[in-house]
Order: sequence, then structure tokens, then C-alpha cells
Amino acid sequence: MMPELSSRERLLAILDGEPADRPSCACPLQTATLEMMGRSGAHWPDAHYDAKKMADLAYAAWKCADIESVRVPFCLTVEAEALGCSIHSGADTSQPSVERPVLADKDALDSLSVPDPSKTGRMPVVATALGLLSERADRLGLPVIGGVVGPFTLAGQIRGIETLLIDSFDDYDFLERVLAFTTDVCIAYSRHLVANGAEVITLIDPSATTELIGPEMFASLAGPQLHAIIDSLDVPVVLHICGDTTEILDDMQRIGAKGISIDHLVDMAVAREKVRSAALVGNINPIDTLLFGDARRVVDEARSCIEKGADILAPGCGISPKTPLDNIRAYTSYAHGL
Amino acid sequence: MKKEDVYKKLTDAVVSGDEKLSTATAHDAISMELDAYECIQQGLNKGMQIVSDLYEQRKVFVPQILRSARAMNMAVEILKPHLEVDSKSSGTVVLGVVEGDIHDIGKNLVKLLCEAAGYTVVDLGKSVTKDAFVASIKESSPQVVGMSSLMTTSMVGMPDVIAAVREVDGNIKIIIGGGAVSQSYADTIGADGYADDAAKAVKLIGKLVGA
Repeated sequence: MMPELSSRERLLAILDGEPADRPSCACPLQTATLEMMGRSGAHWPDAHYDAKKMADLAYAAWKCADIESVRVPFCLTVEAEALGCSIHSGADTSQPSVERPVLADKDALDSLSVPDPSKTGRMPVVATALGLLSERADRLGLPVIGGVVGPFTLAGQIRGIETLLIDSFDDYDFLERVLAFTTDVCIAYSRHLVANGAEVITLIDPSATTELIGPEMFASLAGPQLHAIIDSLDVPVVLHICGDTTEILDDMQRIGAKGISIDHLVDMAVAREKVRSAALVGNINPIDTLLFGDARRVVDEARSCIEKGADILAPGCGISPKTPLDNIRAYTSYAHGL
Repeated sequence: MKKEDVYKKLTDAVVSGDEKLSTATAHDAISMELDAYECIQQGLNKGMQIVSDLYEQRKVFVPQILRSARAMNMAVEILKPHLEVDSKSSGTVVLGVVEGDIHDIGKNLVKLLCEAAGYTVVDLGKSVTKDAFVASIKESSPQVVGMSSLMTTSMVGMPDVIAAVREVDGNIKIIIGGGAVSQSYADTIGADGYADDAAKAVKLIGKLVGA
């Protein structure tokens, strides 16, 4: 029998394609809930801006719910803000959101430059939080995960997503220049997070979903950029794209993602057939099951995910802040007992 | 050129997303003194419905819809001043993204396809409060209210909007959509329907208003 691994060893082994003692229940996506905010004393929106609070709330995922990782940040706006987009800070149950794109006018691209992640916007806040988490995580054998917005989504945030999609017809060269730029931003920021303690990077590119752009545009525009980012990092990358990504699982695997995180809309068994060389992450329904279901339903679905081939048991999308702790614990304790 | 050929050219221009062809053909239609309403209905809207079907079959995606919508809208602008009477509407639909959520691309697609199908659309935009929904339905007396939410954090406000709308007019049909919600959520909160993409949403509206 295999010796028991630490949570960190387990996650890294699984992402490396090595055998592990059991599936992991690390969570590569947003973990914070209202109950965790209450117990840690670190609430949204403050925890998006204050490194200590960010670290405390991330740590609560382990402390209150036995999630086998700690992960920051809790939003998808750090990069867009660093590029000059105005951000609405949200509330205790709603995430920050981009209010205004900075690249509505094409000429503005020339005045944008890759921000220095050590001193621009909230990039240093996230890096500092990672540092604080690393100290605690070392003692507990927990992996530290940094979340980064993917280049297609970031391009949509700074340009306006509908305008960006129209650019794909009107001015393909411009679109490629925007994507090359956002890719450089992602690389610089991801490396900074790794240098400050992130052992795994989750790349989240919701706007690259095939439901929006289709599989061909994913392969020609979004995939190569994600590939470049993954290649530039010396830590494993978990790639999450929302929606039904069944058609692009091959691509996601080919571009080097060590973990492929799937939405609950994807059938885990079908994904397992297609994905042989990467770990599968997912895919408990975050709303119908985790938010509104009961513990029994959560465990039933968790069991089904594992039986169909999940390597890392996690929600199919970020955890909704009103999700009951009991429901999260239901699936993590199931995973801990495997 | 026969008028059927003009209609077909308008349809083709929308399907291929060619705004030069759609606007040039709209000008041709006017110089031929064709009926502007028929040009929109038989030509442009038919094109948008074809695009909508192709989208539902996953043969085209959102960029193509946006491009086709632009080709259509630019031609509509040219034809509009020549509309003789108010064209008859299939019904009125109020649309909005619920409070706290700013992701409106799905709602915008529903609007485009609703208009192509002949509905009058009142677009309340994004992060729409319950009070704004109520004020709007009092003013425009719609047959259908559609609300969407992409974020799991904002969807929880939907039941309040439904209750408030029903209080004003119990006959209004309420539909929901967006990445955060599902048919089972629609059932739970007592919405009249759910659709998982814009093309299906328009069909659902047609069913609910008995069109």
C-alpha cells in the first residue's frame, strides 16, 4: 500500500501523472464563502484589496472546509485593473467586475504596456498574500495555488467582449496584437506569482469557451496563446474554461495543461475517454448541487465524478459565496475518506 | 431586378454578415420603391433567422451573429425612414441582466434575435434592479419578461423580481437564462421557462405568447 501523501505531494503527483494514494480535493477555482468570511473575519470586498485578509480568507478554505489547497485571488479583475480598467468592488456576496474597458479606442493599444507586477494595482497584494500563505501551507503540507485570467478573457475585458469578437472579422491583425499583448501580461504576472510562492497556476479563460467562439476559433486564436503561457512557466498549470468544452478537450490537453478543469456541463466519463495525458478536475454542479442541494446529493455526485474518472474532486466552477459549509465538507470528507 | 431577388440579396447579405452588400441592397430597394417593411421581414429578418438556426446547430458562433446583426441593423437604418406605418409587432419583451451582474452578451443576443423575429424589445441593460423591472413593465405592458445572470452570486435575486412582476401583472410570462441558471432553478423559483441559448429563448417566447 502507498504511504499517505501530504496534500501538496498528492496534488503535484496527480498533476505530474504519477500515482497517488487517493484523489485530491484541492480547489483550483474561487473558494471563499460567506461562512468562511464570518469565521476568518476577512470579508469581501476588503479581502480583494488587503493581502492579510486575502490570505486569511484563502486559508479558511482548508480550516473550515478541508479543501486541500489554498488559493488566491477570489476575482477575475486583478489583471484588467492593472491595465487601467475601472473596477466595481462588489459586495460580500458578489465579486468585483470590470466597469469600463480601456481599449474601446484602438489607438489606446500603443499606450498600454505590460505592467510591473511588483507594483501595479492589486498584483502585489495577491503576491504578498501568496507569500503569507506559503509559510502556513508549508507547515500543513498544503499546495498554494495562484489564479490568473487567460489572455482571451483579459482581451475581452479591456476591449469589450462584443467589440473584440467583431474585431475577429474587421481587423484580425489588431486582434492578434491585442492577444499578443494580453499574453505577455499573463506571462509576466504568472511568473511573479510563482516567484512569490504559487506552486500551481490556474489559468481561467471563460471567454474562450466554445459556446462563444466555437472550436475553430479556439484552436486558431485562444489555444496558441494559452500554450505560450503554459510553456513559459515551470510549475504545473490547471486550465479552466467554462461551458461545454467537450469539443476542445483534445486541444486543452495538447497545449500542455497538466490539469483540465471542466464545467458540470461536460460529462466526466466522456472527458476521461478523451483526456489521457492530463489530470481531470471537477465537476460537481456548483449551483444545483453545492449551493441548493443537501449533503447526501453532494456525496452522490462526488462519487459519480470519481467513478467516471475525476483525479481532483472539485466544483465545476468557482464556489458561490452562499454555498453552505456543510455541503463543501460533504464532498471534501468523501474525498479524504477514499 | 425582381423584388424577390432584392429580398434574397438582403437575406444573403445578413447571413454572410456583409454590411456593404446589405446597405447597397437597401438603397436599391428604396430606389425601386419597394415596401420597406417587406424588405425587413422577407429579406433581413429571414437572414437573421437563418443565422439563428445555424447558431443553434453550432455551425456558427457568436462572432458571426454579431457580424450578421450589424449588417442587418445598418440596412434597417436605411429602410426605417421609409416605413409607411408602424410595423405590427409580435409582442413586447422586456429584457435585463439582474442586479449585480454586468455580463450582458447573452441578453444582447436574445435582443437581436427577438427583434429579428418581430418582437418589440425593451432593453433595460445590465445590473437591473427589481424596481427598474417593475417600472418598465408598468410602462410597456410586455407579454414576456426575460432576465439573465451569468454569475452565481447575482442569480439569487431572481425570485424577488418574479414576485414583484407577478404582483403587477400575473399574466406576464417570465423566462430566465444565463450561465448561472438552469431548468431546475427555473422550476424552483417558479419562472415560466428557461432556455440555454438565445435561439432557443426566442422559440420559447414564441411558445409562451402563442405566436
